[in-house]
Amino acid sequence: MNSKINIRDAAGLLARLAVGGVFVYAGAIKLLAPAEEFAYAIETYKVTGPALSLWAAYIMPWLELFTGLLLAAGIFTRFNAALCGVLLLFFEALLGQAWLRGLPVTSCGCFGSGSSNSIGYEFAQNLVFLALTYLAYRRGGLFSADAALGDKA
Amino acid sequence: MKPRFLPASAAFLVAVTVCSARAQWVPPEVQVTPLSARQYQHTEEDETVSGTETELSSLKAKSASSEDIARIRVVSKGMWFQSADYLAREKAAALGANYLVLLQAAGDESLGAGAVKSYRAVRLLGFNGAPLYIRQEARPSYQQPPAATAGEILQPAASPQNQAGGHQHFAWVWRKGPHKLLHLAVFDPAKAAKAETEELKSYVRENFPQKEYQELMRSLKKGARFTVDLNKGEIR
Repeated sequence: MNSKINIRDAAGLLARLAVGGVFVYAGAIKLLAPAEEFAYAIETYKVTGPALSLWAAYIMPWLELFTGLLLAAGIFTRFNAALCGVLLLFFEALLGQAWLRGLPVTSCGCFGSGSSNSIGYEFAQNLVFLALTYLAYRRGGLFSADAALGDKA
Repeated sequence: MKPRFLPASAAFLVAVTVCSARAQWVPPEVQVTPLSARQYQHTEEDETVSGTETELSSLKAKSASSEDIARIRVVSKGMWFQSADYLAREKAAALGANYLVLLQAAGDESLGAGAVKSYRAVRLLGFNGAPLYIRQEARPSYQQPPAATAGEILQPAASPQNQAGGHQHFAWVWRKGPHKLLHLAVFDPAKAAKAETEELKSYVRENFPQKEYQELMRSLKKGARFTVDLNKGEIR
């Protein structure tokens, strides 16, 4: 057992697991509901039409699920951490434009469509996730599959 | 990360995501069936019209009670309520409907939580770019399902059979109405089995603003003739 695990690496591991877990949860809870329900939530952002919203509703939960699983397991760690960051930034952009436009988004769709917090709350929450994602990107290699395979991420 | 892992990781992620989403996708089965007098009265089995055109005006002649309603029936099987609802609304939008009333018919296990969620979600969207109007006297908040009223019973209990069973949705579509307004109602399946059109009409009459309802009926009667083109998905 390596006794020289420093606190940054430990924090990176926790961040990796936390962000991975959040993405797995977000993807799974959407997959357990009809895709159209999530599509409705996407449509309320008034960025995409019904057809594109439906496609996004089919793709996005799986993307979140697999990205989260791979990140939590430490497989392609930096790539998946970066992808999580990009996704979070994209979500922030969606939330931000809805906020600025004053759209009546009563369900952000972040964790399914059944319940939701305010846009401001979700926006702030995503900032926390972004910070954790950055930490996972920089220091998330501890106990990762990548590290075990010799890829020193 | 070593550079060589980047394309591999991206390719792997894209592959598993696309394959999973593709496996999840179930092609919808949608039939658009113009209302016939027999269907209207629910005295015989439903029939699917496969012809290219059906004049609703001739159907109207067969049934005096259908004189002001063009009914489009959307059937979907093995889908969630939301999926069927979504398709029904898409179809109605393609038909250029300004007014739409959905009726969940016999054969469904129940109106589950999904229906309630859908009801709420639909409310947020509007229809054909117009704000959505559900009931004049009751606009439930997003978190609260609409209260049950006469002619409208929404059961909050979830039903896993919803996914397995087929759904039949009857959509009454009014076109040519002057108003950009959607009126959507979900009825209790037990009542829907009887599909009392007069009940529906009275429901609409009671819940539409009086002036708009009258204008709608008047314009429909003036228009007099509708033709449903099943190939093009149009009402002319």
